[in-house]
Amino acid sequence: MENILEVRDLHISFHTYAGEVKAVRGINFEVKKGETVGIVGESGCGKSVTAQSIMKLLPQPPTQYKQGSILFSGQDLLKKSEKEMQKIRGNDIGMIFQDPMTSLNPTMKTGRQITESLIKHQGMSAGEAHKQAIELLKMVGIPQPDKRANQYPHEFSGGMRQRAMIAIALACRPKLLIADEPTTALDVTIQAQILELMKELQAKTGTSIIIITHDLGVVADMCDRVVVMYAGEVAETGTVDQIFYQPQHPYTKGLLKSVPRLDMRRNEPLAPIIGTPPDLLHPPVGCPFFARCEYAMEVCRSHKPELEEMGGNHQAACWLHHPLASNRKEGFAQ
Amino acid sequence: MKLTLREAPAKKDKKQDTLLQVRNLKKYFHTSGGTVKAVSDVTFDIKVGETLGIVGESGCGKSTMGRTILRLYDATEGEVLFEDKNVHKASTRELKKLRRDMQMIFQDPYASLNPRMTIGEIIGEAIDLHKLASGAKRKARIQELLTLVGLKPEHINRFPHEFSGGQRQRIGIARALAVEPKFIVCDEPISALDVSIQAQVINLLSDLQDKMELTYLFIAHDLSMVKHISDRVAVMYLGKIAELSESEELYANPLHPYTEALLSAIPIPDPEVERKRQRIVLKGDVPSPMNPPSGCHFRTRCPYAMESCTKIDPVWQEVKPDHFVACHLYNKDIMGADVRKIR
Repeated sequence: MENILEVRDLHISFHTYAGEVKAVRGINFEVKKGETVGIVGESGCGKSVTAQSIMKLLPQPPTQYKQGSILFSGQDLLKKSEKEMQKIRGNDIGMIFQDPMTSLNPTMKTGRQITESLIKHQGMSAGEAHKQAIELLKMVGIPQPDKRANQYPHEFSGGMRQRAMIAIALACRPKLLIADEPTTALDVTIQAQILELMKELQAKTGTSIIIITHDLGVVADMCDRVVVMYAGEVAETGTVDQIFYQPQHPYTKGLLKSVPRLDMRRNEPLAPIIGTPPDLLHPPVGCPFFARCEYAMEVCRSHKPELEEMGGNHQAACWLHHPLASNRKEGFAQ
Repeated sequence: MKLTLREAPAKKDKKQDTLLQVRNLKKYFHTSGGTVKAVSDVTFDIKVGETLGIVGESGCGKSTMGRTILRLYDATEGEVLFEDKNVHKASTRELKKLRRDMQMIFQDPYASLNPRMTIGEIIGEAIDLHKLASGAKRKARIQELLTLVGLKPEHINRFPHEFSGGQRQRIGIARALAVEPKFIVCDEPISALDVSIQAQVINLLSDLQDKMELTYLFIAHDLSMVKHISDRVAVMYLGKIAELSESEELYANPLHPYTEALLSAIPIPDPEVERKRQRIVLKGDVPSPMNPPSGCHFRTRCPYAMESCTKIDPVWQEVKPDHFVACHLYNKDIMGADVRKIR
C-alpha cells in the first residue's frame, strides 16, 4: 500500500521564557492509504503537537520546526508557504478537534461553516455548496439537516457539534483526516455513535485517519496500527495486535496494565506506572522512560535507545532488545 | 459460584450495618429558564465499609446527588440519614460534627486547592476547625497524613502549583482524611488524571479503605474503573437511578436497557474482543432535565420502549436478590406473561 503521509525525523520546539521546550524529538511514522493509525500517550507526550504540525497550525514563533520532514503525497509540508498550506488545509487534509464548542465559530451558522471550504476549494456556487452542506449534515446523521444548517453551534448538543465538525472536515473528501481526541469531551454513548460514524464514513470514502487519543479502548476499536509516544519520542509502533498482545516496550506494557478491564477480577490491584513523565525543558539524555522503568539498566541512563525492528514492521526503542541485555529481558518477556 | 471464601464473611458483616440511608431524595434547581430536576426521587442505602459506585453520563445528576447527600446543597425533598441522624435537619452544631464523619474528594485537583495556601495550611485547616490537634502535634499529624497518601513530610511548606495533577489529588485525599471521616464522597477523583496516574490514585484509595475502614460513594463516568473499585454499582439516568446491584452481577447481567447500552458502548482495550463485539448504539442525545420525558425518562432512546413507558413511571423493584431495576420490562402487571425472562 502506498504511503499517504510520512513523518521523518521530526523535531519541534517551543521557545518560552523558561527556555526551549523540546516537545517532539525526532519521530518517524507513516500512514498508508485507507488505514487508521492511532497515536497514544499521556498528556504532554507530544501527540497533539505532532497532529497540529501536519496541518501546520502551530504559530511560528514560538514554535520552531527544527528538523525533519512531513511528506504528504510525496511533498514536504514543512517547505510549503502559508498560502500553499491554505490550499491543503480542509481540502486534502481535514481535522477534527477535541472540543467542538471552541473549535466551531459561534457567530456563524453551521451550514456556512461547511460551505466555506466547498466554495473556496471546490469552486462551488453558494447555492450548490448549500445543497452539498445539507447533504453532508445528513450523511453525519443530523436530523432535519435543512433546518439545522441555518442554526448556530450553540443550538446543537455536544454530540451534534462533533458531527457537524466531522461534516466540515469531510466536506472536500480529504485524503487524510486527523482526529485529535475526537471523543474525549463526549459521553460514552455519544462516543460510541461518533466512532461508529467515523468507521462508516471511512468505509464509504476510503480516507486515511490519524486518531489521537489516550483511551486504549478507542485504539483497540478503531485502529489498524498504533504509534505509542512518550516524552516527545516514539517508544513503540506496530499493528494494533502487536501492540496489545506483544508489547515490546516497558512503557506500552505499563500503560496496558494500568487500565482496569471489564473482565478483570475485582480487588485485583492495578499496576500503575510509578512517577511522572520527564520535564521536556530538560529532557533526559538517555531513555526518557528510564526514571519510571522497572527494567532500567545502567545503559538506559546515558544512552538513548533507537527504534529497532522486532519483526513484522513492529518497532520498539528499548535497550532490553539489545543482545547484551538477554538475561535482563527474561523478566520482561513474562 | 461467585461467593469466594474472602467475600463471604465480609458480605455478612456489611449486611448488618447500614451507614447511610437516602430516602426519596430530590434536588431541583430553579433557574430563569425553568426548574432543573437534577435529582428526582432516589432511594438507596450504603453499608458500612462498602464502596458504592455511581455511574452515568454528564448531566445525569450524579455529582448533584453526591453533594446533596453531604448537604453541600439543601435537598428539595426527601431525607439523608447518616447513622440514623437526619443530615438535612441537623442544626449548625450537629452539622459540624457530621462534617467530621462525611468528607469529599473533588474532581478537579487544580481548582479544589487554594493556590495561595501551603499544603500544610490546606490540610491543617480541617484539623484547626475541629480542634483536633495544635502545635507540634498538629504538624506531626499533617506530616503523617502526607506520608499516608504517598507524599513526603517535607512537602508541608510547598504550594499547590508545585505539584502534578496526581500529587494534587493526593493532597485532596489527605485533606479529606485529616478529620478521620467514616464516609467519603469521591466525585470523579481520577477523571482529570492521565491513565498511568489514575491507577496510582485508585490503588491509594483502596489501600486507605482497608487501613481506615472507610466507606466510599464513588462517582465516575468510567465504567471499567467503577467496576474495579465498587462493591455495588448504581446507574443513573436523567436524575433517577435506573438500576442498582452488586457490581459483578450488574456487569454480567445488566437488566435495564440503558445499563445494557452503556456497557456495550465502552470500548474495551483488546482488539480481538472489539472485532467480535456487537455494539448497541443508542440514538439521539440525553433529553434536557428541565423537561424530562413523561413516564420512563429513558423511553426516548430505549430500543424496547412501549406504550406504557410514556404513561407510567416504572417502579423501583427488587427483581432478583439485591438487584434493583426501574423498568416496565420486568413488571408483571404491565408485561403479564411477557415479562422478560430474568437471566
